[in-house]
Amino acid sequence: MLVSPQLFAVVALCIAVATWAVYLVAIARSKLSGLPWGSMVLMLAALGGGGFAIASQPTAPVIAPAAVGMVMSGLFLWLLSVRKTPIGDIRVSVGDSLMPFAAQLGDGTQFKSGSLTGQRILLKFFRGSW
Amino acid sequence: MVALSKDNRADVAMHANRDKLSLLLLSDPQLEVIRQYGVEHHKAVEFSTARFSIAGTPLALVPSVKTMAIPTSLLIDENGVIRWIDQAEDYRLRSDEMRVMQAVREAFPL
Repeated sequence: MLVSPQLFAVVALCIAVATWAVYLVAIARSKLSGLPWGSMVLMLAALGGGGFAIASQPTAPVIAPAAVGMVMSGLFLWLLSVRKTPIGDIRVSVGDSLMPFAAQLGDGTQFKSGSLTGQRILLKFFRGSW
Repeated sequence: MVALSKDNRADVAMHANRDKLSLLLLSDPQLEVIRQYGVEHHKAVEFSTARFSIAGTPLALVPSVKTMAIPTSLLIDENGVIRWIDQAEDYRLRSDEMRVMQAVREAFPL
C-alpha cells in the first residue's frame, strides 16, 4: 500500500477538522448561502477515508484519528440532512394585524405586545441562544 | 426590534449580556407565542449551551432534539399591520441584514 492507513486516518481527521473550521467561520461571518457542496464532498471523503483506514488496519493508532474524523464528518452531513424547517403553518399573513401576545423579559417582568403600539417593529422568532 | 425564542429567562439574560444586545429579547419557554403564531419546529436539532468559541463562534457540542421556533421575521407598521414576513426553509439560512433592509425600504419608502 502506497499510503499507510494511519496517514490516511490522520488526513481524514484533518479534512474533517478543517472543513468544520471553515464552515464555522462562514457562520460567524453570515456567509452561508445554500448547500455547501464543496464541504459536503470533503466530509464524504473524510468519512470514506476514515472507514477505509479502519478496515485496512484496525489498530488503535488508526482507529482513534479515523473514528474522530468519521464522527465529525458524519455529524456535519447529518446536520445538513435535517436542515429543512416545516414552514407553512404560520397563522398570520401580510396585511393581517399583529396578534396580541405576552412573554417575559430576561429580568422576569411581563411584556405585552400592546406596549409596541404606534411603533414600527421587526419581530423575529429565533431558535434560541447557543 | 423584538426577538422571541423558547429560551428561559436566565438564558435570555445571559444571551443579552454575552452578546451585548440592545434589542428587546423575549422569553417564551412554554412556546405559547410560538404556537400562537404557528412557527413551531418539532424535533429540531439543538446543541447545548456553548462552553468555548472559535473565531467568535460559540461552540456547543452536544446535540439534542427539541421543539423551538422556525426562524421567522415579521415587519409591522405603526398601525400594527404586518407588512412583510420571511420564514427560513433551511434553519441555517436566516433573514440577513440586506434582505431585512430591502423589506424595510419597500414597506416604508421615504
